[in-house]
Amino acid sequence: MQLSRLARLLGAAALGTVLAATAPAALAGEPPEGVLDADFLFGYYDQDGDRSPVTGGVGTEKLHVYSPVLQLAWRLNESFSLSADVGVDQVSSASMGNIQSELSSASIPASDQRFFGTLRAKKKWKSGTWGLTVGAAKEYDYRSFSYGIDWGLELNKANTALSASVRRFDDAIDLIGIDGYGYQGPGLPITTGSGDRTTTDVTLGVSQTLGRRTVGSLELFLSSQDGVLSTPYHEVVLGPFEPGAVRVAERLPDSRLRKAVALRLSHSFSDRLVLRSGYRFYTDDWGISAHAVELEPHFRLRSEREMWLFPILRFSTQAGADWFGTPGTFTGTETYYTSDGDLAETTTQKYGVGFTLNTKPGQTWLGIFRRFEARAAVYDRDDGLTAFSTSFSFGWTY
Amino acid sequence: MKRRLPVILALVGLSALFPGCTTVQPWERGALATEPMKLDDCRTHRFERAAETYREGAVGGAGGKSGGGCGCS
Repeated sequence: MQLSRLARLLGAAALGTVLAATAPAALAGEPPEGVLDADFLFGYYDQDGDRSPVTGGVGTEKLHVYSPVLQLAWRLNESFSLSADVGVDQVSSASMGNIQSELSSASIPASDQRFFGTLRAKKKWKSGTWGLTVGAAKEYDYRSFSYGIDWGLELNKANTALSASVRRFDDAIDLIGIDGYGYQGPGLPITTGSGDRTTTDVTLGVSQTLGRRTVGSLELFLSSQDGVLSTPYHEVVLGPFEPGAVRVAERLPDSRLRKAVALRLSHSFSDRLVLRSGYRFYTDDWGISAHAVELEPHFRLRSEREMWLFPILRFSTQAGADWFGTPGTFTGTETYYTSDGDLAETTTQKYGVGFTLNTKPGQTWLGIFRRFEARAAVYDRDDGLTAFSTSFSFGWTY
Repeated sequence: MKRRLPVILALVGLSALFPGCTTVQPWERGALATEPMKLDDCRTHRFERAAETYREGAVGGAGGKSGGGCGCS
């Protein structure tokens, strides 16, 4: 209850900040001062595999996601800015019909939508910058409300930057079970209503100029989760793995502590070649640990505008959760069990290509836009899941 | 050793960053001002970050959201 009140207070504070900043100009009947940046983004994601957790680690994982997003950033003056982004993930999945298997095909939703939005206010105060963020997301079986605060400080003529943020997510998850009606497995009680999940993320960062052509950063990340952490409609097939085997809902702990440390380094070899690199180490108390390395060498194209073309390379390896097992591994007497391949021991590779374009002040591209981005990448997991992702964005400044 | 590894990596990262510290004057920051030299992800990278969050057990350290805010764990 206290957290809900805090959430309402923070939301009211954000709204009040917005009104206080805009009221004088609005009352005067004049257009607001400052600069408005608007960007339209669109992402398409397609995946396939044959180890769907919805059907106990077997079956198709075919899925498409279309994601339009609108981002607005309003710089009212040198010390205050507002930003917002709203969007929707339109998801169509071959496994959705397996969630509510007793409904007629006409009733099973062929697709799902996740609506989301975030509002952020940022204010420079004395030597630091403070930000306030509120957000919300909704799917047919899931609601989320988030709020957070962040702080930044520049030192040494902006050669050093410190940052810290705390963000909390309060989620409600419908306990629909593996048949859509709360069924957990033979002899297990039916679940009804919804369960709560809370996530608290803390991030600490430092970035440092290392030379006229080099910059680096270090980020520490901590996340604590409590509540319903199992996915209600994920199945686990108990042994022996044969036709007619018993299926139960996955069962995972109701708490999780996650830690990550990330290093980034960008170096400009020349005016036409920049190498972006990154490394992240992750570990949690479910037994997962992971390493990820990213490389993007950026090549500048000859143009009046700033245009860069670059390959995308990412390699990651992950040790699986203690409670992961393939179909037939578990007997049902274990405390926790899952067949979700996302929590398994995996090695993944991602490779693709990207392009960015930015115009100089006073210039436009195609007569309207100030910036453009596009990316396309293939994602390959060693358990057979493959995915393709492509995205673009157009931006203009008013 | 496994539990101390993140701390060790953080200290190594810090020690790698600070010996190279230098004060670059504003008029010397031309190469640092180009788009790829920004440490944050570009706008469209968010879609791939979201997919990585969903398809891997590991999250965080990439500037994006963690678990929470979606129906995934």
